[in-house]
Amino acid sequence: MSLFGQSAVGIDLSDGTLKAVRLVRSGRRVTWTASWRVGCAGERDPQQAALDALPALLARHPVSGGTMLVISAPSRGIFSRTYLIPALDGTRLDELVRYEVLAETGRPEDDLVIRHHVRRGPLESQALTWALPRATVDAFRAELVSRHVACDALETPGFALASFVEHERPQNQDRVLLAVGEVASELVLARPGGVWMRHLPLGLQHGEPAELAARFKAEIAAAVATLLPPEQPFAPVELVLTEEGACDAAFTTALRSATGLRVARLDALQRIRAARRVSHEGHSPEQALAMGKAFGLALCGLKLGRISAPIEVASPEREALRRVPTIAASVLVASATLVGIGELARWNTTRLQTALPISLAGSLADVQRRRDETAAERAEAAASAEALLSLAQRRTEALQPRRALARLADVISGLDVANLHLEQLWLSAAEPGHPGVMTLTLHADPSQDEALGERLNAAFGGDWADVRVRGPEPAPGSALSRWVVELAVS
Amino acid sequence: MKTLVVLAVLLLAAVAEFFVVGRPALAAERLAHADLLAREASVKAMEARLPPNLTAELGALLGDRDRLAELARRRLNWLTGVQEPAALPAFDELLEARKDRALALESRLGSSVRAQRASSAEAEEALSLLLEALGDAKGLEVLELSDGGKLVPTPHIEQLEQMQASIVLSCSLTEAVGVLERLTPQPTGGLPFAGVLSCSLRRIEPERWGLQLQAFDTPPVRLAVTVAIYFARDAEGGP
Repeated sequence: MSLFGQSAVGIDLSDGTLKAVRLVRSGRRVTWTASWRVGCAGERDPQQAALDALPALLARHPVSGGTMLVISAPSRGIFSRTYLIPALDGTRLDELVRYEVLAETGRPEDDLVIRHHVRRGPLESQALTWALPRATVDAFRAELVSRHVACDALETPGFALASFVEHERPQNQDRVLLAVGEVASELVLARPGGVWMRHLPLGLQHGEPAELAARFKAEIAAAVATLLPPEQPFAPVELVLTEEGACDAAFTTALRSATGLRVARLDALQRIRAARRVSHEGHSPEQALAMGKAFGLALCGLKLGRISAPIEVASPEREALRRVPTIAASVLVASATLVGIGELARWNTTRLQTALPISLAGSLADVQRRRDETAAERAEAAASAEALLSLAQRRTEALQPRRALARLADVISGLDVANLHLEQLWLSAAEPGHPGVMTLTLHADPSQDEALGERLNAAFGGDWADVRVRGPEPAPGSALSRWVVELAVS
Repeated sequence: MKTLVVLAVLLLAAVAEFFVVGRPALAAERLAHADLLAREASVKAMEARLPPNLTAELGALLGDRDRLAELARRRLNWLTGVQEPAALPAFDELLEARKDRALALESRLGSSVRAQRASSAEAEEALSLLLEALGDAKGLEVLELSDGGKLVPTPHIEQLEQMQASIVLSCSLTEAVGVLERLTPQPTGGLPFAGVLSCSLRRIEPERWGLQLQAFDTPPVRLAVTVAIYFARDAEGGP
């Protein structure tokens, strides 16, 4: 199976040699990647021997479900015609072809397997038709089943040969296609107006080259006479020779001499690209290039057969194999999903655990605590500064009594009656939050009551901003009046 | 067939891995999600309790605190001085120089002062400071260290500790005012220094004192002073 395109294996068993080719298609490019050949010419029944060799070949080189496996259908006794039919839809064309075949063969429908390939024309279509006895096809399929060989389609070797030649050497002229094997051959008469094929139980083993060439000439003539419509003369321009006969120079020369036609061999592939390392097994490159029918079968598997009317084989094994990639992909996706769910959950768990860590709340609390601590430290620093200021101001405070006494002396000097004395001076130093206070208690003659308060205010108000004078009131134990002056000293 | 076996084994391994690892991981994920929701609620509640501009407020507080601390440091330097202060005269020399009978060895005040001096070096230093502040003023009635000269931390000033003392003196007004003015911190005077907490100045002879007040030439007055003497607090936080 190719990961990047279709692939197909074509296996030809029709001439006593097992020949297989694997092609890979990528877009419009077709690549030849491998070919195998198992010669059975020495066996008592080469065709049966080729069939017997098939399981071993497939065991050595398994064909995956994604690769189409097309095997040549038995072509002995094939009935081949080309019908010119007016352009019809598919169903009616099928009925018409079936009618023509049954009418011409005179056999019941159930006895035949009928297939056709339609070449559409502007006015009429060509129905390239073949029919095989159903018993022959069933027997061949039974042979395959008995050997545990499952395939996707059976294609006639004649159509496979015609497809390959049309693919590699397209020509719009009459020509004879001859695939000469060891024990059997396929004859295809190709012309623009149709394709006819015939299986010939005649191979290289059956005579000398000259004798064989003569016999093939006779077979060609007979086929032209019996298969082609007489009103259209067949004028081939060449004879395309493939398979083992193409590798036999003496036979080729004899055939050219006998038929008088130009004998063409496909010495190189024109439209199929050979892979850089083509796997060859059991044959030379020359023999590989001569495997026209196998190439044609592989082209049919790639849906590139220009003349193709295969029998589709509904093989459960192949169907199952074909589903393997889908199943494998599904299993891989399911497995990856199961593993991925766990890994994703673990990753997500880590992400959730690291998101918004509890330490953030702790950090916020720390910030708040630090703010509170700083506020406390600030308050402490402020209190310390204030306390130190209070201490420093005590020097000033100590000078306050002298100033107050001086102001009081000024008051006394202005009085008529100097009956005023300082009973007490009280100084309370400033403390943080509490201003210093100096209190002077004065005793004065009551005759001064009227004017003393004003005088005291005037005397102290010049030096102290906050002055409170209370009085007069009777001084205890004397006839004097008591005055109290309160000064804020800080 | 081999492919199918391999696929089956692979699928089985994946299923086993899911049951062994994946399901616990899913449970852990659900738990982590629930924890996250709880943390989210906790953080939101915390944020709701905090002021909106906490960081800016903290920055302003830090700046303010540092400014105030610097201010306090400068004030302390002004008070305590940056140079080594001049040594106080010795206590005995001061007593000798006063020639005050009140402080004589046999007097009650004299023996009291000497007893207090013996309690600690700081007490002796404080008494020396006070005696120097008294100068030539006579009439000392009380010179007493509170609590036997015990040092206590100065409120709000962690670098200082203090002891209190009481002085009662009967002298002229001039002398009393002079004593008051000497009981003050001197700029860059260093430690220890004294500061008046409170004082009371009372007349003794009121009939005459008022008449002589202008010239400060007065009869004796009674000065009662409560004073604090400040010392440097040592590193251990105690004397």
